[in-house]
Amino acid sequence: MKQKYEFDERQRLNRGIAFQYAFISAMVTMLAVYFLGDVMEVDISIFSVFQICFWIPTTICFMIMIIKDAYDTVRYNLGRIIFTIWGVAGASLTISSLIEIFSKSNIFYELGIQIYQEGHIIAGLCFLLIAGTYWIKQYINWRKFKKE
Amino acid sequence: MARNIAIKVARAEKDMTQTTLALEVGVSRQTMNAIEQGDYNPSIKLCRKICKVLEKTLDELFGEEN
Repeated sequence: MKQKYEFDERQRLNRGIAFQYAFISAMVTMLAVYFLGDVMEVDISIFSVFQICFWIPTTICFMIMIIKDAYDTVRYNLGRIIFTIWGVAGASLTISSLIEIFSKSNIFYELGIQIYQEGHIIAGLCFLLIAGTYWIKQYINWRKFKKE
Repeated sequence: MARNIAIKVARAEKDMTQTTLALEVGVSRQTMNAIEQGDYNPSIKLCRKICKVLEKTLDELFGEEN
């Protein structure tokens, strides 16, 4: 039987919705970062701004795709491998950033004004959130279809 | 949206699982499940594919009474 490596019509529809939400969340995130940086005068590094503005909309996009079953098609195992790697990467990124922050004597440099690792933590948490959502959804689907 | 019992019955008649029907039609298992549960309204093109695989007419599977 010929295997299809493309998304079906319901998945394409839901992927469109996911990209739509990602676009809106990208605008909201950029606005929030602007307020945080320019209005509230919190010192965030450019690298962290990039990480926050990139990973938050990406995470929202991935989560909607996963929740609406619009990520996996016939390439079922590839998704499992990718999200396992994402989970491990997210955990290592978050843990290493937390260790680096808490091992310093000047924690958060006057109560969170100068944090260099915030971008890494956000990225790490986003990775963990995506991987977690994927595996929870896999479990829900497994329970749903195990009767067959 | 109401559940589509006709597809489930036609699938059972041909001794097919949701997974095999989905593969034959060329959609994901979740999409086939959503159609049966009435959570997704398929296009005419997809309806015709399902009818072809299950050897039923459009009216039998997607008619008003279904």
